[in-house]
Amino acid sequence: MFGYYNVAAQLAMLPATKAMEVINRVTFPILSRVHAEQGSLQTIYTRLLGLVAAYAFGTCWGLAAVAPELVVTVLGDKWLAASVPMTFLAAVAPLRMLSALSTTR
Amino acid sequence: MTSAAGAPRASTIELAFAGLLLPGAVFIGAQLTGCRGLGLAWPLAYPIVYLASNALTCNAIGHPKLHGLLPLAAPVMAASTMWFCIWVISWQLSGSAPVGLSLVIQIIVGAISYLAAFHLLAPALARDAIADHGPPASGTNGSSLSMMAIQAKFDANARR
Repeated sequence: MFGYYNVAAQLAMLPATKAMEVINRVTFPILSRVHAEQGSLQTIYTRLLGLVAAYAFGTCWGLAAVAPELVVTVLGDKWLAASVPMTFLAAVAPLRMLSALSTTR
Repeated sequence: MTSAAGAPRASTIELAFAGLLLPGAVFIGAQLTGCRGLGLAWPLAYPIVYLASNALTCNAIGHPKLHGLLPLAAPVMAASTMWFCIWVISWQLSGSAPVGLSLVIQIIVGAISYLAAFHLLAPALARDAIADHGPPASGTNGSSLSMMAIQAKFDANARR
């Protein structure tokens, strides 16, 4: 059971992991500076949310939608059971990315 | 965001909340229906964590709580359209085409439907997003063009 879940989790978070690294690296210095110089964090937060959501929902929900075919093509028929948790995990991955944006440090 | 806004306590509360809710949900899901429940626990529990996270962040930066959800509307609707299109294609092709070919067709249809729906729903955000994912301009490291544009604009305002 955990083998399927582990494979599903790795595949589902694939688009999010790399993007989160870049987002965290880029945003914190800019946000800190904007805050220190009394800039509008609200405007930047709203814009960032839109940009990250545009990437995250497109890639992650796309992955969720093609999960069964992707698992069979990439890993083979015996891993088909991993496609169900993969669909669920990929569906929630955009929220995890957006949440990571909130907790950027 | 919350740390940059000078409110690291909000991050701590958020992480503590997620740390309490998610393991419980995952454990219950695994006990009830095994691997399927393990996966299902996430979409059931995580939106609650996200709503709390969003509320805390909006509070930290002085934004009305629901304003953090508005920028998600267009991407969610476009992605739902894409998901529906992929589902229709998958249903049409099931059994009649090899799985690999079906996957390629689904990816192409999904990408086209997402971009089309996104352009229709939020043209300004779509232009921003495309600029952000485009090739790096000369003299940049290509990490994020939109963020660099924001920074350049901010620098210009600061100099003024």
